[in-house]
Amino acid sequence: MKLRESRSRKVFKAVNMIFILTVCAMIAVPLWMVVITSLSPDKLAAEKGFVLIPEAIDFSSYIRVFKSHGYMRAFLNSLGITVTATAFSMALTTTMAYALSQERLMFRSFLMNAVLITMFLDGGIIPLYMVVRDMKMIDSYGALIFPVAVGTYNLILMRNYFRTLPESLIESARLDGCSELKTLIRIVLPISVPILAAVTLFYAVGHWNRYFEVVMFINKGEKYTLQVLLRQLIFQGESEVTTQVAVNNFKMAVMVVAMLPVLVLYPFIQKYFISGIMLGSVKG
Amino acid sequence: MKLFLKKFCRQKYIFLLVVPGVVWFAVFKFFPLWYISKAFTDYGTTANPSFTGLDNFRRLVLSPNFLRAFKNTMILSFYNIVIYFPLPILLALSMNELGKKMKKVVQFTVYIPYFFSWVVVGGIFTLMLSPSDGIVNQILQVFGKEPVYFMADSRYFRGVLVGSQVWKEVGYGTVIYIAAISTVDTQLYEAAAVDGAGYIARMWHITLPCIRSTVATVLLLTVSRVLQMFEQIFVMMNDSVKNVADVLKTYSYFEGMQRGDIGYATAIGLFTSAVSLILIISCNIFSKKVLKEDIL
Amino acid sequence: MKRKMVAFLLTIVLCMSVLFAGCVKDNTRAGIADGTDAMTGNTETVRMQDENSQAGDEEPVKISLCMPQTSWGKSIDSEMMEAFKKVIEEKTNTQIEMISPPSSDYQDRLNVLLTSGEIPDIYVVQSAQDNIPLYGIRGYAAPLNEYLEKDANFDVLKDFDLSAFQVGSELYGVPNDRPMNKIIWVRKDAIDRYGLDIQDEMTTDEFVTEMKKVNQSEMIPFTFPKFLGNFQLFYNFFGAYAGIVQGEDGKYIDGFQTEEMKEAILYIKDLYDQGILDREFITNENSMMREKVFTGKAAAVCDYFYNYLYYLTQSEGVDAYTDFIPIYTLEGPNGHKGNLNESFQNGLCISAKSEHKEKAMEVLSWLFFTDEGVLMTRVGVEGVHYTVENGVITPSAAAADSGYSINVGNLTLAFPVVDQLDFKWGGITDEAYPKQLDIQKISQAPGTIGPKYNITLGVSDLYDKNVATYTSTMNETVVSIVLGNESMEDAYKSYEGFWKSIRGDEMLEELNANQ
Repeated sequence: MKLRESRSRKVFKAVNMIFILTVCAMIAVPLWMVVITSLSPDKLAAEKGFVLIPEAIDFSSYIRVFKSHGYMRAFLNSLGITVTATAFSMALTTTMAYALSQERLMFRSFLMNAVLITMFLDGGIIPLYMVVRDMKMIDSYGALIFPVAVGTYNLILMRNYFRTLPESLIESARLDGCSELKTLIRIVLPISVPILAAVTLFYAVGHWNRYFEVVMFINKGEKYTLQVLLRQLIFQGESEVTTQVAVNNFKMAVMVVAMLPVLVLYPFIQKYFISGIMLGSVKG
Repeated sequence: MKLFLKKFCRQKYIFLLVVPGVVWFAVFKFFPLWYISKAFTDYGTTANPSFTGLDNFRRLVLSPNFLRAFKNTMILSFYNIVIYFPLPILLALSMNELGKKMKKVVQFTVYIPYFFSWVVVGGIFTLMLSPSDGIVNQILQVFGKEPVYFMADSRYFRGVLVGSQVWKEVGYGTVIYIAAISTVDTQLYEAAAVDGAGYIARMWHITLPCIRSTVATVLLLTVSRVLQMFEQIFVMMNDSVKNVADVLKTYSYFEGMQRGDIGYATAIGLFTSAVSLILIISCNIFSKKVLKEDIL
Repeated sequence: MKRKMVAFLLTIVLCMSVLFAGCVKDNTRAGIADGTDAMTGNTETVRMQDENSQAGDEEPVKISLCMPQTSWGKSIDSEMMEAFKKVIEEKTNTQIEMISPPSSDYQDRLNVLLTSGEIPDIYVVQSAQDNIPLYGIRGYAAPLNEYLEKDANFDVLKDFDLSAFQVGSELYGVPNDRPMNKIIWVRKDAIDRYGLDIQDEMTTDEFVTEMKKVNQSEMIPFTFPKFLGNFQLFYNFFGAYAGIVQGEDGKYIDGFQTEEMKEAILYIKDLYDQGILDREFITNENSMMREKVFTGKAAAVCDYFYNYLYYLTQSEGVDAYTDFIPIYTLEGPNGHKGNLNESFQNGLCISAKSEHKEKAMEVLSWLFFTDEGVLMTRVGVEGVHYTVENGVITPSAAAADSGYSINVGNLTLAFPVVDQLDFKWGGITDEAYPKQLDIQKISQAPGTIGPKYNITLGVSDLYDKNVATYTSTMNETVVSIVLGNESMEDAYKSYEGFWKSIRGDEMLEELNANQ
């Protein structure tokens, strides 16, 4: 009896491992090639296109990116906008999601339905442009923060999470005389860290990768973000930010640089997923 | 009335919480909806637009390109839901069985592609799938197969779209599920272990039911999102696969943004919304019946 | 402790966002700019002071100018763009409001500006031949006839046929560049290595024989962009035209449903099947295609005549330097010739709603039709973008780091012929420059340049509604035949189905009737 169980466990573990490793390999190989190509010298990258096995390592394309005034400014723009916009998005989304998750809110279902409508009904870019224009936000960083602040998907995700929290917890806090905001901050948010971390990440990536709104709402090059330059580099080719020829290694280097901040941020946020697990076990 | 006011006073603070969000939705989401009325005009094509009634919609149903776009949208949506949707659940469940360190590394790897924008993913896939020096075709050649031009072959292109979608976004779904799984009470697992339940039984009877509501939510989000596919197809499509990849959004972009036929493009948008609504409602009915979760 | 931190942070964020929102509503742009000055080194405030001090007798007029980002002095560095803008302001006594969308998304942004009613006073139009008449009809562009007559700078346009920009007798825009055409370029090192016999003009069969000599495992014989409108190059050799054209009897016919067209498509298919045409042309962005050529991965390419200097300098940059030999045109079996005529690509319009049309036209005239303006738009501002050292033009350090490069080929496209320069280009350019001018002359000589037909809008309603879908369907049909996804017969059968669905025959009748 015991033997059989442990054998089935072993088989399960092996199958599981193989599955995970296959998935990881399929995801990692292209990433590996991007990194290796970005580290290849011009000539090799030009001949091969996409390099699997490194033959020579050369940091020149990274040096070019970091030396370029244009890329660095765009990088800082992206960083600044992402941080501000994510903070604003989170503040707006959390408060609204919490309120919508509470049964006692009046007009709750009306508001919820209104939110849901926006999931499939959309006026398009032109009326949104007009709104932004009439608010005098064209060519300002505000246009990249406010009009795109709430993602309906993220809002619903969060609201549904809050709904799974035990009612009694919130009720008792309110009976203790906590105000709504206090309840949200003191009671609800600390036990919602995993979902907060996840949604923060979604927002951050969304804001970081944004280009369409940037192109639409921003007039001048000095406010463009890295994604705009990257897109131009790929479509236009003749790099508009360095005089040198843009071959694959340079493009890949910009791609990697464009990912760096989110890569750095991720392990930091990942910690909070783990902390969520800890929280569960402490409770147990 | 008095009762109403009293009730309102009692919850004015929670109202304060919802007000900023409501204002935001009103300004940036609801106000722009007035523009939908343009679907009933010939706006964009003349200097003096006039009301044309259902003319745009008549053009719509008569246009072979529209019907093709509609068909492609439905097929691609179907593939996305059937293939892309279950994968993150599977991955999250099996990652949950890994050791802590391993789990961290895997989670990190899987999530990286999500940081790329579609332009970048499109570029990577074009290089990987190139028939002359792409790695995929080199592998095929090792097995003695003829190289395949995936990006230009209408038989394979939908596969490429779904594949790149999975590659880029599987990590996104996985993160949601992992966050959900992390809230499952570990007491339940311990109890199950005492009862002698195996891994699979544990997954099936404890983990899955516990993340049921998340699954239902993500399903709904996926369904509402599949019709909005645009950027991916826009950057990866070329003329030789247009017949299998042109979807409603790319078609409306072509008509509206590139040709300036705003009225017609808005009509396409409105049609897409209607289909989306039907899908969302049927999805909610499905999740009510099967998953016993009412998301809306 | 932790909870307090979270509460604190959240409060701060909320306060900040409320303040931020307040700023936006009250102070508009300035409010935002102030907050972000430190981040970007905004020079707006400095500029405003400058303007105040120099505002003399006449108040400068506010003009909004919308051009792709790279048109603002060939550099996207904000300070350099400001410098560029300032020169325009000084020269024309205006206050320029700069709109500079990135070139890859320029048309999208312009369309949003136009349809939302915020039409810039002056704007550049891409695919000008198709778009300018549309903009005229839609009330976005103002007729320019009277202004052109008044200003001698525009006399240079009299040598060109501008009918593509006209609706009726009204001219809605002017071209930005001289007509462009594409020819075939062959790398000299490939010619030497494989012993190719390349002539200025050769027959289509000779072209196949010669290109077959290229060892296909080493080099792609002939690369091509993904934009299938470029196949017109081959159609020309067979006397075919992809579009609605007038037949020999003067009646309009569908150029796609002719025997000549089928013959041309078969030729392209043959090139593709034999491996001469790049097997992966359908995923070639322009950038990728050019990279293949100057790095030596491909032996020949179809590209603009003015890219001679570009290819020379780029191939030098990647250690693959070689000369590039033009083939001006091929000759088909029935003696048809002609390279790919793209005519006018970029155009300029004035807003129909502008309050300062006269002034806007003055700016346009100075910027694009005087030697001084052209030298600035296409080479840059002296002292900012470049300096002249020992008589040779040298990019400034800041410019070199921000994407500025001296593209001489571009200068030859301007309408004013700038031949009096007080500096030398340096490097290989000086030597090659005269050759570039020769190539321009030969490739555009009558008989060498291919045809370009236009159908005026507003003649046939069916045509106006369906022309875009018509073009894209033709392209899809051709590519499915060439790549072998469909047989010629099947592809044409479904094309005929499409032709019926857009009521093609009725469309031709409408065109014939209103001729």
